[in-house]
Amino acid sequence: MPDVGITNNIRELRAANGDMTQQELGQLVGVTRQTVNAIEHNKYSPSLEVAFKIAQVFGKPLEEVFFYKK
Amino acid sequence: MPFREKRAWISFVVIGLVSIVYYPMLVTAYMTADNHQPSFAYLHELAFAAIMAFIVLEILLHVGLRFITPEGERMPKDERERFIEARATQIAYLSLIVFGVMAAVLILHHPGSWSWFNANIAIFAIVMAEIVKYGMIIYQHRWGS
Repeated sequence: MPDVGITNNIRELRAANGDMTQQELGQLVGVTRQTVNAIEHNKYSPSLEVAFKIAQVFGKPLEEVFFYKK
Repeated sequence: MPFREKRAWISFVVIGLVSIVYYPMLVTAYMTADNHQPSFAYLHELAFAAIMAFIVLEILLHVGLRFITPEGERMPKDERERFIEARATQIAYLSLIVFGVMAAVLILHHPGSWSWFNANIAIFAIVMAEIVKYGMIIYQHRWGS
């Protein structure tokens, strides 16, 4: 799913949360480090379930983590 | 490198290696034999050796990988890995159709006495589809989704 219209600020949120690693975030939401990396670089659009889990980890609403670019 | 990609690399390389050795030997046997009819004993030995090499290499390398990275085996496939596998299987199915049709055309041009060779052409279509599948898994892990 390359060049998706959905972007995110997961990288900034990880940095703001004690430099959380991709591996740590992946373990918290149940995906691999490579999947977190693919989501961060907009190469893969996660399912709603994973998107909500990621937002939950950072204590943010979904729309503050993921954005839709027209 | 993700665990599933390593597994795909193993299968990709093993199938590729066995095929690169087996098929040229098979074709050479037919080309060099009297009346293009090699002995069935030789053909059976060749096929048996290829199948055994494939099974032994696959088992050894997959068990070795599991031994080196036991945590990778325990971790269930996540949604992206399932997506990659589904997409690779879809493309492999399309390639199976293409190679299957090519195999059918080739078989039609061979006499009935070439049944062993014809069977190998049909298997070659399956082998190619498997190579495409593992190749697509590797490609998508590296550069795709």
